[in-house]
Order: sequence, then structure tokens, then C-alpha cells
Amino acid sequence: MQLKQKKSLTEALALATCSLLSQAPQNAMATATEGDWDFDVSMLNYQEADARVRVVELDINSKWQRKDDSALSFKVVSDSMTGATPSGASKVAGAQSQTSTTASGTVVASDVGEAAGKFLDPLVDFVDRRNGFVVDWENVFARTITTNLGGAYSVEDDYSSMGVNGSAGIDLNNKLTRVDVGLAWTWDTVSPSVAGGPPPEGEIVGGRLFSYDDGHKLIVDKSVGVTQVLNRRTVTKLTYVTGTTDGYLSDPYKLVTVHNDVSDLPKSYYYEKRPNTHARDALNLELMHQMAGGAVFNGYYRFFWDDWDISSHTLDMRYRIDLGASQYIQLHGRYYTQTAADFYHARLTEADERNLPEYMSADYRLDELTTTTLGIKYGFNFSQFGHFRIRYETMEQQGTTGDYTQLKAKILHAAVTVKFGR
Amino acid sequence: MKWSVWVVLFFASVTSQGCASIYKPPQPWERDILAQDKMLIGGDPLEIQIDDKITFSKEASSIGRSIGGGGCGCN
Repeated sequence: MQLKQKKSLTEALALATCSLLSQAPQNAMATATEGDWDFDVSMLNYQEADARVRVVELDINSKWQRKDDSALSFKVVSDSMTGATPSGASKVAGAQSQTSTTASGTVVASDVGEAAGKFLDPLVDFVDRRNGFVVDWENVFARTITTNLGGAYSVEDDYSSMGVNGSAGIDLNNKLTRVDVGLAWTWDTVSPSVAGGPPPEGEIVGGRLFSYDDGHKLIVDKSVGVTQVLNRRTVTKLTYVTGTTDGYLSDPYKLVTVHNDVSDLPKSYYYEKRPNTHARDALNLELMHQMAGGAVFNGYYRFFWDDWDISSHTLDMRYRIDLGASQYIQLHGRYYTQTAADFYHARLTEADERNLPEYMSADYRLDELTTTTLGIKYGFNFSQFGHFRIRYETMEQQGTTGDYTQLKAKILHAAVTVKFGR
Repeated sequence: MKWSVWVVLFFASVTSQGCASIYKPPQPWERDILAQDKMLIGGDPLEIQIDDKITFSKEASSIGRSIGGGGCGCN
């Protein structure tokens, strides 16, 4: 019985060897002339409650996986952004509007405030479009070293961004450990549609303080990450990311309101002003673990801190449960909490105005706040090479001070991936 | 800077203690589970990319698990 088994094993190996040898020339030809293509199409509808911001985004990705272990990726993105966003002007019951809509913000009238009997709108309507593309070229050397070179460009009605990035990774320890390093430069320009030129950083009534040339910022980010396989079902990754941003960092549409100490009505308005440098750091820990039944737990924690006195904690968890061989659902929960920037002022007093802070912003995103996100996703593989998924999420943000401390949003996101050439 | 030191020490401590008990590196022929698409570290890239963009626009933590990819003047 044992001899018979050995004989059949030998025959099987011989047959397999012959089969491989006979196919080798065909594979060699295929390597030279063919590659695999992956296509992704992704559609997002993001809608905030109370007619705040709405974003519709279309992403189309294609990846050409060449058989010489290199890959070329292209991505095209198109956004449409509409709705209303808080300007920083305080709410005044029954006040008449003194603002008008532009491509992405507001034209601010002069002579406003309590004395003039005119107040600025706390919510500003805007319409904006964003189109961009991203390219990435990946190479693998000696099966253990991976390099990526990429570039990105996007343009909005009043904003443009261009960047280059590079990264390299090496597999170590019999491919149980991987170390990645990355570097990215991004050059952004804001050219707001405010009459008379951009970035006003000071009192509204009076001359503009800066010219268009001052609307630039340079972002340099660096990262180092270590991925470690812990066991047959678990892999983890620790990434440290550090970045600096230099240049014009204010939001040219955001205001800060000074209130009358007695009447509590808005007395005057100022454009916000942020420091022109920003140093940021983040430590990210990720974990993927597959349960015995095939369910997958994905945990993510981030600790962020910067030199604006903001620190934050993010906990993100996804749990995927397979429904048979081709379908699954995934539950998602995320909790985020941050401290306020040291120059955040929901409003200013008359005493503040007499001795204006060097930097000030009433942007609610710089306030102390928490965000809670809950979502569910359904996906199915419609063939061996096709994957469709759709998810619905709700996001709720709770700030601490200011007129707009609560934000609710609904997120609908669908995507399909198709692989050719396999 | 003080924060960063404490966080690094915390992670080093947790990782070293946790890994000691669950660290059982698989052999090359035992990596079938890790090779599955659903085990890609970080999850579905399209999903993460969208989530990062939303949170980048609505929160002050303007740096995350990845770098590059383009900026926006988000409202």
C-alpha cells in the first residue's frame, strides 16, 4: 500500500514537472507582451444635515500590473461641492444678509456691525468643483524591495494642489517583517474669489494686507512604518508620520466676530489669521486579525499632536462577516476626540479687540470636539475578478463652543473593482 | 514632544507584552490566510481613501496613516 502511494506521488510530480516545462515558453511570451489591469470606479454622496455641505465625488482608478513586477496606476477624481458652511460670523436673530455667493465663498461688505445695523451671515453658501489626477509607479526589486514614485495634481475654482511623493519598502525576516519609508511634497495655492485679492488676514474694513502671491503653502510629510506578521491570522503595522506646513495657512473665507460687551451684538468682524507654520505628528497602529470562522477584525488607533496645541485620539474598528463564499457585510465604528487649537476663539470681546490676539480663528474644526461614525457595508464578488460594495454611514460631530457645535452627515459610498487579464 | 515620548513608550510596552504571547510566525506554506484580499492591512483602499478625505476636511488632525495623494481647500 505504501509502495503504491509512493509510485503515484512520483508519477504526479513527474507529470507536474512536465506540465510546467511545457507551459514555460508560453508564460515567457506572456510576460513580455501582457499585463493585468484593475479598474475601480467609486462614487460618494456626502450630505450634511440642515442643508450644510454636500459633496458628490467620482473616482476612477486603473492599475496596470506588469508581469515584470512593476505596476502603473492612474486615478482621476472629480468632486462637486455645494451647500453652506459656517463663516465665523455670529448668529443674530432677525439680521439681514450682507453677504453674497461667489465661486467658493463670500464677498464681504464694508461698514458692517452693530453701528451700521448690518450683520454678516453666519452660514455662507458656496459652489465649488474639484478635478484632479494621481499617478503612481511601483517597482519590485529582488522580490523584497518595493519602490513607489507618485504625483498628484488637482484644481478647484479657487484652489490648486500639486505634489510628488516617493516611498521604499523592504521585506525582512523571511517576509514576516516589512519596513517602509516615505516622503511627500505638496505645493498648494489658494486664490480666493474675494474682491480685491486674497488672503485678507486682519480687519475687514480697511485695505487688503496681502497680495495673491501670499496664498501659497508647502507641505512636507515623512513616514516610517513597520509591518509585522504575528501569526497565521494576524498582522499589525505601526506607522509614524511627521509633517510640516509653511506658508499661508489661514482660511480666507473665515471670520472672527467681536461682540459688544453690553448688547452682546456683533460689533465688528475680522478675517481669521493662523500661524504660517504648522508642525504635525501622528502615530498609527493597525491590526488585522482573521477569526477561525473567517470573520476579519480590523482595528486602527491614531494619536496625533501638533504645535498648535491640538492633540487627538482616533479609534476605528471594522468587523467583516462573510455570508457564504461571495457575499459579506462589514460593520464600522469610529470615535475621534481632539483638543482645541490655542488660537481658537469662538468670538472676541471688546477687550480682546483692544489687544487683538496675534493669531485667531473661529473655525469650528479647530474647537475641542468629538466625532462618532457608525456604518454598515455590503459587498459581493460577482465573479472571480469582480467586487462590488456599497456602504451607508452616519457621522455626528459635537463641538464645545460657538454657534455651530453640532454637525450631522450621511455618507453613501459605492465602488466596483474589475480585474482583467488573469 | 513630551507626549510623543510617552506614546512611544506605551506602544513599545503593549506591543512587546502582547506579541510575546501571540507571536507564532507562520511558515511560508502557512500564509494562505494572510494572502487573502480581505486581510490587506488597512482594509479596502477605496474605503480608507474616502474616509481619510472626509475626516481630513472635518477635523483638525491633518495627517494620518499615509502621505501624499493631493490636497484640497475643503469646507
